[in-house]
Formats: sequence, structure tokens, C-alpha cells
Amino acid sequence: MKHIYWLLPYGYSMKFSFLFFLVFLLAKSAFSQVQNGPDHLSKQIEQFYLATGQRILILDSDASKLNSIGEIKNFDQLPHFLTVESPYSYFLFKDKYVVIFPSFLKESYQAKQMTNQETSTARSHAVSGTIRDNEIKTLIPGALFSIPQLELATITDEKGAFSIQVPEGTYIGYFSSMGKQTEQKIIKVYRDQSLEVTLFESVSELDLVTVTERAIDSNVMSTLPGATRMPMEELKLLPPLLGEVDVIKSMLLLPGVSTVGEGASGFNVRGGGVDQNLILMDGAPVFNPSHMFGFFSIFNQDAVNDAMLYKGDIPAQYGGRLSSVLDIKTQSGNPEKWSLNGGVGFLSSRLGANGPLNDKTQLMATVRAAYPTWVLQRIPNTGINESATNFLDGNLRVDHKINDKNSLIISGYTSSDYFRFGADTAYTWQTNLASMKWKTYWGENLGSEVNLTYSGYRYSVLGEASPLDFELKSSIDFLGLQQQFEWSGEKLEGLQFGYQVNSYFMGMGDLNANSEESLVSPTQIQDEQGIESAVYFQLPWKVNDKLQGQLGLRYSHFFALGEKEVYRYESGVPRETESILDTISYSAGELIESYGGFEPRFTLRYAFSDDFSVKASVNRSIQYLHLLTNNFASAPVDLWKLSDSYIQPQKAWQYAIGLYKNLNQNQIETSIELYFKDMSSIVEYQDGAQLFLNPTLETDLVMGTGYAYGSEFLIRKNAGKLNGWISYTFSRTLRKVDTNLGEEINQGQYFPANWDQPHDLTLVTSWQPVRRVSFNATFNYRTGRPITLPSGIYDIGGDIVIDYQERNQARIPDYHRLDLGMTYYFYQKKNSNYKSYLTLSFYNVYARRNAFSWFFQPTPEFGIPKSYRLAVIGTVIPSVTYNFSIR
Amino acid sequence: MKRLVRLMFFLSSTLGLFSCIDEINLILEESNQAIVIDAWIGNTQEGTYVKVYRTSPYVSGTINPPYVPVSVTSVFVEKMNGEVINFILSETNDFRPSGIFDPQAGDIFRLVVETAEGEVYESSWETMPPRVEIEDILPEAFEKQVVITTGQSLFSQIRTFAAVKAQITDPGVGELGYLLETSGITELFTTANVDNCACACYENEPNIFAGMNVTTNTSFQGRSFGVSLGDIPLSFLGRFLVRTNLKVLTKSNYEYLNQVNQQQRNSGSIFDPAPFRIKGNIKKRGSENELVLGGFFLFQESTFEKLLFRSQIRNESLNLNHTLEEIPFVNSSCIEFYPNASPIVPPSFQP
Repeated sequence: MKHIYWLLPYGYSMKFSFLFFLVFLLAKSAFSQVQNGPDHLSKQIEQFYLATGQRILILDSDASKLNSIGEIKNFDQLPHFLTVESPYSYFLFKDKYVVIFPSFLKESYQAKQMTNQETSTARSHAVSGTIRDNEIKTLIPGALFSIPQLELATITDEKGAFSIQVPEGTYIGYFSSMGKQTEQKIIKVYRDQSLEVTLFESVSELDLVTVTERAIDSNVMSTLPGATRMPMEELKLLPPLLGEVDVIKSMLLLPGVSTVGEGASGFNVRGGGVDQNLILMDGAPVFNPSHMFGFFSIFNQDAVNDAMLYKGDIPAQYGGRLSSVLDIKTQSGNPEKWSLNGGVGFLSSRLGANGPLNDKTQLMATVRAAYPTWVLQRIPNTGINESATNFLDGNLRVDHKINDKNSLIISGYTSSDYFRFGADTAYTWQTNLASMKWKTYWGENLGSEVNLTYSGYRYSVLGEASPLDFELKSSIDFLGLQQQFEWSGEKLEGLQFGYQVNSYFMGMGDLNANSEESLVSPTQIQDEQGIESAVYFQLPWKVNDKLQGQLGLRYSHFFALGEKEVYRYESGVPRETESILDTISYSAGELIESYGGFEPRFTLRYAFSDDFSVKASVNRSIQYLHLLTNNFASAPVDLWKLSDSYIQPQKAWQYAIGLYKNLNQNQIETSIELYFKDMSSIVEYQDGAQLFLNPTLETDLVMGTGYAYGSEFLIRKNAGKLNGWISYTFSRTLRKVDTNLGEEINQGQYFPANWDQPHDLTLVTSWQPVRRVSFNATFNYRTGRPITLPSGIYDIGGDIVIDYQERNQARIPDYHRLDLGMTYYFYQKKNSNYKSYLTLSFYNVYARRNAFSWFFQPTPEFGIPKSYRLAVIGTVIPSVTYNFSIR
Repeated sequence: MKRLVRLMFFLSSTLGLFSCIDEINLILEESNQAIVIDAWIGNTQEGTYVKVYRTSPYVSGTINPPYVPVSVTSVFVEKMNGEVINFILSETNDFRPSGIFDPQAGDIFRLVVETAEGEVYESSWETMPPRVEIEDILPEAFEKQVVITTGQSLFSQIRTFAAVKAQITDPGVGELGYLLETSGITELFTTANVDNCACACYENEPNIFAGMNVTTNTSFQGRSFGVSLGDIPLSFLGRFLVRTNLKVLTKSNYEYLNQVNQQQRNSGSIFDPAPFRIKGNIKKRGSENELVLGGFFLFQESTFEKLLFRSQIRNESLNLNHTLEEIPFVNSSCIEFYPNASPIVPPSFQP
């Protein structure tokens, strides 16, 4: 299989100076080796595109054999100059694409035609089919099917289908799409042909240009506002933190996505809490996406294919979270040949392999380990050198094609984290994910996908101080079944419908002695069980090319089940242990409480032109699972809880509208999105709440309401040597707990959520001046998050105590940070099986001590506690990783 | 590559050397001036008092914060049987029992404070806990990595310490709290070339436990238990006197003090709870939701002291890598090197 690459234009050159001299040395070296090489051709093709708006399609193996052109003024004639008096020809398709191909293909065809004309009459037949990516259900619109011999081509429609009349004969057909390996097939056209073509990801990392699988105008023409797809190839252009390209860190660069600071697990989307994001890996929900408190994510760059974030309208197939869905798809194994890839860094390393087991089955496997403990132990600080942290994770995926209509994907993931700060307390957490997806076609127009998933999350706190050494364990066991059908008949075309059943088993806390000598008395908090079920449909609707949208409806229902003992409290008074009247016992499987509701989703897109549209969406979501935290930010060992008799589901309506405008032939995307989120039911904690080992957890939790609103601005340049984006978000998220019973929070008035950061500005740039070196930089500025400050101090028994203000009435200083990175692709021979590149990055380049929190600690002089700022990262963090692939 | 590894190691180490915690000297000049009632009632006269005042503004690191006085007309403790123990003003904001007050375990009390504005503050009814005696104080040697500062450089070294524990037996009468305050006197030696050198001296260590030492009996109700009092270094030659006050508290008093303890230990990390107002057991009559800070604490106190011989502890743990500090050289007196120490031999150190 050869590669054909979509050659996208380079942007205007820009003077950009970097501080570190090493970069210059490497760049200089690279420049000297590629002068007048493919880069020169790419520049010319870029200028051709700018002049004509036409894209040139060419095999990479052919690029070096074209005419070498010096300086030219009239770029309209570039294809001619490149092929004149050479063994190549070209043809123009729809005034958009120029396909350059070996002339002999056409000449041999014409010679045959001359012969055949003498003996028979030429007939033509319909050649039709669909082009999909390696995920069977994902059709590729805008893919190109071409037959160079005939100078014939067509592109697939929105459903990834094409149809074209082809004269009788035998041809080489090319199937191409951006970001995919080009498939070549011999097509014998002696009757009508129906073709099913699957394109796999491009595995080349050293392409002349960056490739992308997004349709170039998808931001304007798609009907989903607030949806962003980020293929791994794009993520790799961002500066890696600690040597890793990170899906979560990259998502944080998008407008509307934020975090409360370094070290916090998870992320916040449009004013939602970290528990309000549904994170899926191959369909299995992830309850903690972070390793080492967010410095790494659980998504290994070698295992991930792409990431899709829905933050506006969430398709009806997803449910159970209020704010967003991050759907991560892993890579399938290469169907052609085995390859080995990985990276070696000072703090972490990874290794992966993928390839065919046989002609129907592919395997992908990765492992990764982080080992920063060796660095910590050498740091002369008592707190740090007694600390230890590490993690290990692995992905495994098997793709098996049963027959033309059935395929199976089995995916698994396991990870283990350990963190100890100081000598006494350690934290461990493990994630295990498994999914089995069966895809099948039921006749011509109906396909279905059955996904059986398991997600297990176990987390522990280990107290290591004898004789009170203990282990506090909590867990989540999730088992889910989802079947989704997709109808592709003429009527109700694109209809998706299905059902989902999820089972939860929550270990709410078991405290056990960790040694025989320990004096800790075992304590067990009652486990929780529940079933969440849903039925849904989603239908694309189209009035005309300009006015389109999607209509979805989901009905979900949740059943809180026994076995459990539930306290009944006196009505009309605050829920306290003193107001318990009696206990109701529920047997195993007995219904304790149920909740349900409709979750409509509606989107509308009106395209004023090919590059300008307006979109709007309304959707409602219900969430039956809650993350309980009263910390500065959520931690990996925070407790998850199901809805029950006292904790109702969280509910939200989201309304969003956006304007999308592309400029300069879709090279520049701009958008403005506005949203308002009305959260009629949310869970908050009371002051001083004890969330662990609390048998009456409902006495420390309260239900409240909230709302969030914001506006998101994005300008993005997708092509060229210099690309990237600038995004700015203004947002607020406020909450209120107004209860007639018990103590109100903030006197019943609205208060900012912990993650309320009104201004958020992000700049992302990637600059690839030459083929073998790329530079990247990101800058982020955001308002400091809310904190609670002292309102006074007093003395209790000789100890000075701080009286704090109402919740979150002040803010820590604003956050800003610059990261720089560089990737250097080592020289290799043209057909070398070994490819490698080095990434060098500097996180927090100007070493700003961004405050994660302010805190107050007593002084030895017994005065007023002193105030301190904690900066989780207070200096620049360099990282170097050597990455390789062997094919 | 080696140079690159060295460079990376240097930069990584720099990460640790650049402390991520900075003092910020926060000054908040406005205070909410909430009323505070700090009331302790127990079996010692000096430990029994009621303080009434208003909060002071938060100014980082200030010594002796200026609390705002409150004009009080009466302060008394009411016993469940109707008996009333009046408190009179002793010094600013500080009220003491007007007569002999000897509360017994099991007695039930509440506090009532009336201000000149006619506002009445009263606590919930609380039960006097039992008295618990410390049976012994036991040291146990262990090794710990410490950071040594020499001039401008820092390095880590293993040193030996003695973990000091108080042996107590919980009475098994329900959930209680224990508040321990441990001070000590360390014996310090120097050396000199003169015969009449006062080369031994004694220095007070006001608190050998870092922070508040409060614990619950949840794990050892009705059992004998060793409560940690703190660590003392074994790298000195001299003896160490451990003096411990043990206050037994009610469950609700323990929970309040435990929240204070958590507040004091908050390091702003991801595992620390967000700060919040600590609420006690005193409310304003007729306006129960109005902010009243402080609490009404009942306690029974006992005291225990023991002289620990470091040499003996080292002899009992010869498997550990004991190292001794070099004995400082002075001209004639120990306090030349230890200016906060005293050459006077405390009674407990006398033969």
C-alpha cells in the first residue's frame, strides 16, 4: 500500500524567535538537509492552492520524480510545470482537485482501448459503494474515489457513498481521504459493481504536511454545535507535558473547557463539575481519567485514535452526565504489517505493537510506566524525598472481521497508581476497562452495534502509621449493555435508535486494619446498587441544504436497589443523626427509590453560505451518579455516590447558539458560541461535611440549584506552516443552597462554584518551518478560582482559630502559563522501517508560581496563622522523550 | 547523552529546591467582629475559664491579636439539677468561677452568658467526661531521613529519634476525645577547657508534638492504648523530661477541636478540605441562626511526667544507626551556645 497525501497549503512565514539555542542547532541541521527537497515542492503547492483554491493529490513516492521547478510567478500553471515532459500527467476534478499520476496508466489504457475498439463496443457500468474508516459505522463524507487511467473521479456524499458510471475495463482505483492511508484496488468493471472500502489511519508521522480527517468545513456545516474532534495526529502537534501527548491536557485548550489548577483530577466544561463529564474509552466509562493527579492522563498516545468532545448538544446515544461527553476511540491494529512504537523519557516510557494476527484479525497493545520516584528521592526535602509515586497502564485491542457484515472489537485497559506524600499516608487507585463491540448489518439499510462494557475503579487510602495503620477502600463496578441501530433507508435516513442498561455497584467505604498489630476497628459503610436504563432515538432532519438539524429524545430511568438499610428522619427538622426516627431495611434487589425523565435534544443549523452558518441547540440531561468532594479540587480518592431516597438526580437544561464563519477557503475558522445552563438540581456539601466512613451521608449533603452561562470565541488556522488557534471564554457558574431546614450556604445566596473562572484565554501555535522540525507553543490565561478567606480570628484554649467568610467569596491570583515544545524528526532513508523523533518541551517556561490555593498555618510564636501560597508547579519543567516506530 | 541526563537531573532537582510554598503576608483589615465564647470547665481551677470577646481582623503572623472586648453582665454555668456556678471578671474578657468549683464526671452543665445589650447566649447541655490517668510514657527508637543544612548546601541523612507514647486505658464509657499537651526539658552538654565550666544546661521545649494533639477513642474504647506524644532526637547525649497534660473531652468537644486541628494542618493540597467556618455548641437565645463562635468545653485533666535517658534508649536499639551531634565547645558556660537554655538544674533532673 502506498500513501497519497492531501497537500494542504502552508501559511505565511512568520518570524518567531525561541529562546533555547538547542532548537536553533537542530533546526539549522534540518534546514541544511532538506533544501530544495520535498519542502520546496510543498511550498509551491501551497502557493498553487492559495492562487487557485485547488488541492493537489499526489503519491509520496511520485513527488520526488516530478520536475524540479525553480522560482515561478504564475502558480496557476504549477501542475503543468511539474509534469511537462515527465512521465506524469494530471487531471482536474470539479475544479477542486488536481490528481497527478503516472502517465503510463493512461497510456496503457488508451492503447488497450484502441485495440478493443476494433473488436467490441465499449459499455459502461455503475460503480458504487461506501468508504468508511476502520470503525465500521463511521462513514467518510468527502472521500475521493478516482481512476487515473480515465481521469475520472468522484467524492462521497454525506453518508460516505459514491456512484459513478465507468466504462468496461480493468482499472486501478484510488480511495483517498484526509488522514487516511490511500487504498488502491484493481477494479474489474464488466457489470455493475458495489464496493465496500475501509480506510485505515495514516501511520506516517513524517508527512510533508499535517493531515487531518476532519472535513475542512465541518465546523460550519456539521449540525452539532459545541462538538470538537481531535485526532491524535493533531494532538501530537501540541507541547507535551512531561514528555507525553495528552488528550485531557489538549482538551483543556479548547474554549469552554477548564481546570481548577495543576494537580486536580478531571476537567470542567461550561460550568459543570468534573463528575458531570462522561468520559468513555471504547464505550466504557472512565471514573478517573488522571494519573499522578492530572500530570498524565490514562490515555496513552500510542493507543488513542481520536477524541471527540461534545460540550453543547450531546447526541441521544449518550446519557448520564450533565455537561459533556469525551468519547475516546482507541486505534485498531494495522491490517497490513506489524509495527512497534514507543517512547523513552526520564519520567515515563511506553511501548506499543500492532499488526495483523491473520487476514481478519488485528491486534493493538500498549504498555506505559511512569517512575518519577527516583527523582523525588534525590531531592533534599524531607517531605518530598519520603514521597513516592508511580503508575503502570496497558491497552489491548483486538479487531476481528467475522464476515462482510459482522465484526467484533474487543478492547481492554488496566492501570494502577500509587502515590505517597511523606511517610504516613499513601493513595492507590486502579482502573480496569473492558468492552466488546459487535457490529453487524441487518440487510441493506439497517446496521446495529452492540456494546457490552465493564468499568471497575478501586481506590484506597493507606494509613501507614503504626499502630493505627489502616486501609480505607472504596470501589465502583459498572456493567453496561448498549445496542444501537442505524437506519440508512431512503425514509428516515440516518435514524439512530437504541437502548442502554447500566448497572452500578458502589463500595462506599471499608475501613480495615492493615496489619495484625493495628488497633483500628473494622468499619463498613453500606454498599449501594442501582440500575440506570434508557431508550433513545436521534434523527437528522433536513429541510434543504441550508436548514438542517438533529432531533433526539432519550428517556432514562434509575432504580436505587437494596440490599440496604435506610434511615428515616423526622420531617420538618434538619436531617441530623439526632432526628433519625427508625430504619427501613430493604432486601437484595428490592426497590428503594426510582427516578426518571425525558431528555430531549434538539439542534438546528442554518447555512447562509458554504462558509457561514448559525447553529442552535437545546438539550436536557439527567445524572444519577455524583462525585462527593469538599476539597479544594477533586481528588482520585473522592467518593462516588448513586442517587437514593435523599439525594435526587442532578438535572440541567442547556441552551446554546453559535455563529460559525470560515475564511480564506476554510483555512481559518472562526466561531462564537453562547450558552446558558440551568441546573435545577445539584448536590452540594455542608460546611465541615465528613464524606468518608459516614453512615449518615445524607446529613452532610444538601440539594441546591445553579446556573452557568458563557460565551466562547475561537479563531483557528488549520493549514500552513504556522497554524493553531486563539480562544477566549467568558463564563460564570453559580450555585445556591436555599433550604428551610438546617443551615444555608452563603446565607441562601448564590455563590461561585470552585471552578468559576470568568476569563479564559488560550493561544496555541504550531510552526513547522521545515519538514523535520516543528515548534509549538501554548499560552493560557485564566481568572483565579474562587476561594474562601478569613473574616476574623479568635482563640480556643490557646489555639488561634480562623473564622472563614461565606463560601468562595474571594479569588486567588490569576493563572497564566507558557509552554514551548519542539519535535525533531531524525533523518532516515526513504524506505526505512525505523522512524524516530525527539520531543523537547518546557512546561511553564517563565516559571510562574501559579497559586493552586492559599492556606493558613499556625506559627511557632502562637500568633495569627501565617498565610501561604501553594503553587503545585513553581518552576519550569523540561522534558525530553525519544519516540520511535519500527515497521 | 550523559550531559543531557545530568542536565535533566539538575533541572528536576531544581524543581524540588524551588519551594512551591511561599508566604504571602495576607492582611485583611476588616473583621466580621463576631462574638466568641471560649469556655472551658474542668477539674483544674487554672484551666477553668470563660472568655467573651469579638473576633480580630486577620493579619498574617501578628502576635497578640487585638480582640474586641464585649460588655458582659453575667456569666454562669448551670447544672442540670438547677445549681448555678457564677463566673466573675478576672481580667479583660476573662471570667473565672466566683468560688470553689469541682465538677464531677457525669455532671451535666450548660453555659449562659448575658451581655450588656441584653443578648443571651447559651450552650447545649454537655456531660462531664471521666478522668483518665496516663499510666506510663514509653519511648521507642526509630530511624528517619532528615535534611541537614550546612552553609548553603542541603543534604539528606538518616538520624535516630525516639517516638514517645503515653500509655492510657480508655474507661469504655462511650465515645470520648483526648487532648494532649506535651512539653519537655532537654538536657544539653557543651565542653570547655576550664574546670569551672557550667557546661550542662536545660532548655524548655514547649510542644514536642507538631500541632494540636487531639484524638478519639473510636479505635480503642475500653482498651489500653499508646497515644503518640511526639518525637525527640537521639543524637544528643543528655536526658529529656517529658511532661504531659491529658484532657478528656466529650465527643462533641472532640469533633470541634478536631476541626480546629484539621484547619491548622491544612496545606492547601488537593487532599485538604476547603476551609469553612467551625460551628460550636453555643447559640444566641431567640436567634439561633446568628453567628456565635467558640464553644463550651468540659474536661477532666491529669498530668504525668517522666525523665527519659537517651543513652538507655540507644542501648535498647543497637540495631539502628545512631549518630551523635558533636559536643559544642564553649568558654565557660553552656548558654554561650544555647542562649535560650538555663544552667539551673530542674528538680526532675536532680539526683
